Amino acid sequence: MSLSEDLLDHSGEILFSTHRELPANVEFRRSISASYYALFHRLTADASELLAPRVSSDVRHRIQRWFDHGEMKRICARFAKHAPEQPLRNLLGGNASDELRAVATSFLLLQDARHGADYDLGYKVDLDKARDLFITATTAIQAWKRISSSAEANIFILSFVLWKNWERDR
Amino acid sequence: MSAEEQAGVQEKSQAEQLILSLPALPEVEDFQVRLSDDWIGDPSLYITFRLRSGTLVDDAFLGRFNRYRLSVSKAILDTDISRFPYTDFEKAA
Repeated sequence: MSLSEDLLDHSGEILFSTHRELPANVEFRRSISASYYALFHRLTADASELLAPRVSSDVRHRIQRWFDHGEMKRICARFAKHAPEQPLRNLLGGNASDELRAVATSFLLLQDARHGADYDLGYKVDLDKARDLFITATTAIQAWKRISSSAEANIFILSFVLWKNWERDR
Repeated sequence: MSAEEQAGVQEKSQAEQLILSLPALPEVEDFQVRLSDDWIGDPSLYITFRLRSGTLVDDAFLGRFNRYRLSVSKAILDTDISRFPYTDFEKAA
């Protein structure tokens, strides 16, 4: 199993295990964090595979460390928009598909929630919120799997590390 | 009020009107749009949907809510509103 799958399982285990008492507040926060990282690691693992399919897993793991959360946020925000700005519009040949836009939107939602869960002591969490975000992550990963071999998915992934090059090449 | 604050108020109002024009989720009684910066400091919209009293928040509902929130987000992102829409729900008190 991949780290992404393990993290999603971990998030689900916290929330849906029937053999334990209701999780504590801290466990809702851990679940939200794990849900975000499940999507993050799915995207970065596929990105590393695209960039360097023939290297060892050790090298691929190092490549996965190139990806910056803030930069991924900015890229996802670009892809989530209708009528993306240039050079993205030319690269995609129009808009991103609704599925890719949904993945990008979900990434932003989960990332913001994760930041609240991990750092904001005033961030309100409960079981329903954590389950909501678990479903969001699960659905986004399923959507990503459906489109991950597409040309637009390639451009999406390459944008995480090459955006400045796209812009220079306008 | 600064130009930026005014633009935020305008976008908030635009988002509210847009949400009202969209097909509603039956479990949603009301909603609130709030202006705030997200974790990285980007001006954003925070939209909270208040659920009707007695709404069962089971997996079926969460699936419907996820589809609804993505359709609302998409509708907002299809406009010239610059702020990203973060969506959430809360149960009736």
